[in-house]
Amino acid sequence: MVEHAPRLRAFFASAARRLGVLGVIRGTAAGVGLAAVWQARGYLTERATESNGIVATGAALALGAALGAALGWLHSAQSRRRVAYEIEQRAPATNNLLITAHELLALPAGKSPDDNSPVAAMVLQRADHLSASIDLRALLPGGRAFAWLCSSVVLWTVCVAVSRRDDSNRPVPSPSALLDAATGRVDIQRVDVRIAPPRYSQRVVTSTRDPARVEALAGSVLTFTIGATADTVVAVTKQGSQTLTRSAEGTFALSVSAILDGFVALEPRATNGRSGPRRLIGMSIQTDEAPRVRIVAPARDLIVPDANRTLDVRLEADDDLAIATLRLRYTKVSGSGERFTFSEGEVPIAIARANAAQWSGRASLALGPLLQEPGDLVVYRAVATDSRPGSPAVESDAFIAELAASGGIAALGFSLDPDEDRYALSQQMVILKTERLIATRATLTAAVLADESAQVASEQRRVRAEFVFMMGGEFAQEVTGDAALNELDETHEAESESDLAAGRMVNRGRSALLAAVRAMSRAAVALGTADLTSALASEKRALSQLQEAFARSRFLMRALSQREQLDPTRRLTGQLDSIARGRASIPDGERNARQEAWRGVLKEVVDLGDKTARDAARFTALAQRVLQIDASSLASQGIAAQLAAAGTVFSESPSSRRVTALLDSAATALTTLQRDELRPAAHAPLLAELRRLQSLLESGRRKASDAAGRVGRGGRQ
Amino acid sequence: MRPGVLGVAGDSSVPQLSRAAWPLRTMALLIAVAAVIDPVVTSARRTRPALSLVSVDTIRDRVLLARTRQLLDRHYTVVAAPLPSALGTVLVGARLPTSSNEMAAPVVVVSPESGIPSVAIRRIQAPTQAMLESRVDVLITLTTRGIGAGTARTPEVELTVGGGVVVARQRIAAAHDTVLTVSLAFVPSAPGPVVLQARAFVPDQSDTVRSDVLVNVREHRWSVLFFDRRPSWMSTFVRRALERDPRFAVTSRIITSTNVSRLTGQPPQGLDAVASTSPFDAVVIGAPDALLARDVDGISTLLRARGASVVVLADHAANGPADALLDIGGWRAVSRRVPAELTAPAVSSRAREPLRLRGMSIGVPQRLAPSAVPLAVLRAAPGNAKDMSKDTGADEQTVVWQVPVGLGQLVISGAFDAWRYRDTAQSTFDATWRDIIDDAASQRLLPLDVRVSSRLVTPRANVLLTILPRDSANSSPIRASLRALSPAAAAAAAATEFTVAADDGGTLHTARFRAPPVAGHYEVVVYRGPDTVRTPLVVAPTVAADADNNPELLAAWASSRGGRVVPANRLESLAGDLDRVLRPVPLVGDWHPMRSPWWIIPFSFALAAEWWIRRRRGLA
Repeated sequence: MVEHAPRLRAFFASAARRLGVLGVIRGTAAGVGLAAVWQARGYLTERATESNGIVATGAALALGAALGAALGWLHSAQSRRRVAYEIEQRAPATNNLLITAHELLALPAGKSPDDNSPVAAMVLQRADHLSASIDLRALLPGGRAFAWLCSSVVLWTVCVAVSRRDDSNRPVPSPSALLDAATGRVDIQRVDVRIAPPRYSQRVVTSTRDPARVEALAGSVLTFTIGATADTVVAVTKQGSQTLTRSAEGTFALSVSAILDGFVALEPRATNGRSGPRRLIGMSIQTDEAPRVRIVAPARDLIVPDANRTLDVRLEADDDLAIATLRLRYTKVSGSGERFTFSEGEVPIAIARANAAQWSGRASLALGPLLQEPGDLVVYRAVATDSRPGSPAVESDAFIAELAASGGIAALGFSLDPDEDRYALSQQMVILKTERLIATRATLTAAVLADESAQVASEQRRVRAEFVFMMGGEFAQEVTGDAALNELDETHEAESESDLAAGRMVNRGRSALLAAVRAMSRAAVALGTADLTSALASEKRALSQLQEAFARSRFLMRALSQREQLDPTRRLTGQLDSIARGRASIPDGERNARQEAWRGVLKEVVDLGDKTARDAARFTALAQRVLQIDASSLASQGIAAQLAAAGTVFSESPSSRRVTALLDSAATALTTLQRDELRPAAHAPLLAELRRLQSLLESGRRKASDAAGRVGRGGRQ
Repeated sequence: MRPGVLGVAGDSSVPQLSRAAWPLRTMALLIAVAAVIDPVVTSARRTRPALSLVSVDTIRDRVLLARTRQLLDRHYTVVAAPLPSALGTVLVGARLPTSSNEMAAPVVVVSPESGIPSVAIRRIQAPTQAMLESRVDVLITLTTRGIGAGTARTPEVELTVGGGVVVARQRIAAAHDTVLTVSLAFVPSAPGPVVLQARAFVPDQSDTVRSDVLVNVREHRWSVLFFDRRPSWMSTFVRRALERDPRFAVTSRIITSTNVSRLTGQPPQGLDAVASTSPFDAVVIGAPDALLARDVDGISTLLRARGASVVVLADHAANGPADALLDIGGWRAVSRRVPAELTAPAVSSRAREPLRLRGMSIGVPQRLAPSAVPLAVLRAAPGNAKDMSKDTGADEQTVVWQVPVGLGQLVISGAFDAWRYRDTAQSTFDATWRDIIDDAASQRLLPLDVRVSSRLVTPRANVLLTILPRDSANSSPIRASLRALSPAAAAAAAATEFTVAADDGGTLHTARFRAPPVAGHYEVVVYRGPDTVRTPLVVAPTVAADADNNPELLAAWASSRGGRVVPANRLESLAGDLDRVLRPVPLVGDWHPMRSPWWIIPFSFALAAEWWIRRRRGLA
């Protein structure tokens, strides 16, 4: 039996090898096919892709083929193990002879009880004869596998050819472009947008294909690459329009700097005057926000009794992109009156970066070198910049550390609250604090009382400083005196001559304000010596003067600049008749141009409800008009996107219900946009019959009332 | 011998069978004789009664109508039209019919109510006219049924322009069967009549109900006269607020000194002069204490005879000649140390938007007419109710109010120094006074009160025009015509004039006409001497009118006509219900029994049978 085995074994081995080779060929074909798909991915996805280089293309092919071959070989392993079954399947006439022989041969030598069996020998002999008559090439043909391999290679070649750029960097027209070229249609096939953010932002360059809207950081460069079957493409932006010509690559290119929200409308045109549907792309520009910086501790003004201390200042800063610098700066203020001296400096800080956009810092501000005399103060604030070139530094709120001095005045101009209501309220708060201090005076030691009183005096001086600043600052010297309201310092009067000439000082509101400032000064002085009763009286006097001043302020104070132009000598002179003849025309009212523009858009949208009046270009033009009115708000961006989408859907399928749905959505959004800016229409008028009835009721009531009055008078008489 | 037909008496050869033929022969003879005589019988009989079957909306309710008719045909002679002589009427529909004059009572209503979730429009309200620079709030009252917590879909209501583009949409959060009102806004985009259609539906679960309403969008500006006998800050700042608004054309005369006035436009010399022509939609009077007696007479004429709208802006509590007209018994001044807030009354039918005026010097009337409608009130500060009027006992005092005077409307303001707090951050000064004067101007009574039975009709619909002339002194004849506005309508039909008939002693004039056959925009123009009034009329191919769906009202109406409402899902009980409400009257009348054609059968049978017998006997 054994002498028959080698040929049969060779037969099975040959068949197994052939099965393996065929599996490898099929796997390779699949791998090359995958490489072809990867090559054409730019056509299969909406996202724009970078071009494929030679190395990338070759590597993709090799990788795909190798991977496919390996998988094919592995996949054929079972077939190779069951080679007899594979042959039996293809040649049923063997009647399981080869399967039996294969199993007999597979048994370990000498271990089978059938080794010397005549039946086994006969089976192997017949199988041997049968194998000699089998042509493996015919039984396991490789033609189909080779055909698959050739097909996939051809497909890969085609994909390489039609991909957007080949080795010579020449574009290959897309199938839709070829179709448009054949039909003579003027159209835009695709718009690739490359968004290159400003370098400082360290953001990556992104690309997108056929977007309805692009979002970019301010300062980015947007490059539009347009593939179109047209001779020119007209690009319209908010800044104007320009005609794009075909580049050497066969595309149209437009580069736009992202500065403000806007749009790009692209319209393909042919030399024969035909134009294709307009493509509208909205641009939403995100501005690089300024960093936010704050002092976390000590986030309050301090009055320190001595300078032998160091402030532990903690800072925080964050930005939308990245913080570039964070510093703690201070201004040392010393001296008094007109002899203030200012010097600036910076304190080193230890910075901890949570990430590029969130920094925190810690600094030690030693007050000893800065506050040398009572009344000296240091103003400190945190300063941060972001990474945008040329961006101004942003400062935090400034805080003051002042060396306590009785009767001192807080320097002006470091922090001012723009809210005018704050003035009276602040004075009220000073009164409240003084009253509370008086109430708790008995429980406090003299030192604590003096300290608390000094704190209130500091607040009183700050309130006073706000008003002094509001009045122009030059009054700061004379109001510290105890002069009466109508007693002005001559020196200062001379300095304020221009104000007097212009009549500003005649203003009673200003006089009351002046009196209030003086009362505040007296209160501050009294608080400095812990004379709370006198201080409270002065504070209340200041408050009443403030109330009087602001009762008139609304008109009198704001009319100051106008009053300079009046010539009192001409008062009550001239021809009165000429005044009587002056007749003004009826005002037209303040037309809201923006509202009118929205109204025009809404009218167009309502008109488009008529299906016979629809036109794709009309949709796009309307979307463009929306963005021309307002390119910034999300609502208008949404409306424009809906109208543009309606135009696109309409050009593809004019009867599509989606057009109506998009139009409805745009109209609803437009109504919502305008609704709150308009007053509701008046109610329907009362009917004439109802008015007559009301009239009769009224006259009846009056008669009854008159009769009752007469009866009452008669009774009294 | 051949025997005769009747045989021969005594002849023995006469067959016995002739006796059988005799009855037949006699019967035929009797029938013939009776037919010749034609006797008359008078009797009372129960007949098959006639029943009128009508529908409010034949197209919408066609399925239910067919089912109902199929059911009624078994018992009644159904007439598919209103028939006064019918035994009763079966009305199919969920709404009241436009006219029930020709409907025979009792009326049984078959309501198309089903178990599936549904929504119905009970009422739709919108201003009849609106300025182009305003917005139209359309109030839609809806009834939801069968919408429970387990319902997957929630009802939606939307507003379309002419059944086309949807301009407003809202989803209703209705958890149970309820009645609710939804406000949808329409922003006019062009002048002219606009057909707004409200639609309500439960997505994928119910039919869409629709109702149309017409709003006339005008570009016309309200003509407002400001007249101040002396300068008044209140009047000045209200005037400035109106001058900035393009909806108003402000004419003013501010008398600053003797013979010195500041004029805008072409104002009259005095209010007595304006009373004769009344060209203004509203007249605003500042400093009423400075008015002269002739001014007050002019205002009174304006109000009582001309139906004008007058707004009086007092700026301090002072007496004057106008006190009798104002009829408030003088002002009671309320002074506050801090500005008080004036708001809309708690129960207000006229407030349009949040109202917030402020003031420290406020005037409230000593006496307020019962017909006065408060527009702005001063509420008591919490825990300070004693500050309020003792006689009213309420926690709010009226500061701005409207009162009818004659045919006109008078608005009086006691917000003396509200102008001081006109900053938009503090108050709604500008907006409130624009609204108040806008309302007042819209309430102005036109020289001719022209009403059309329906301003939105289908082609060839019957239209009733009712005209109530205001000015009895004008004796000119009233003429009315219909003029096409839209190009298509103008091309199809020229202007037509109607015959206007005087009714009700000449105080009421009516004209009936048919709507033009061509759809489009038209206007009805009514002339009387120099007075001309125009009213829009829109002819549309279809008019959706699913509103007025009020089940309670429908049930009350059916009950008032001796009937009841039968829901569609209980249609099988209709016959029983009809038997209970209908009372068939036996018909008493003459009966001609021999006139029935059925007699031919027994007559022919008798003759044929008699002949057959004779033939068989060999006698024939």
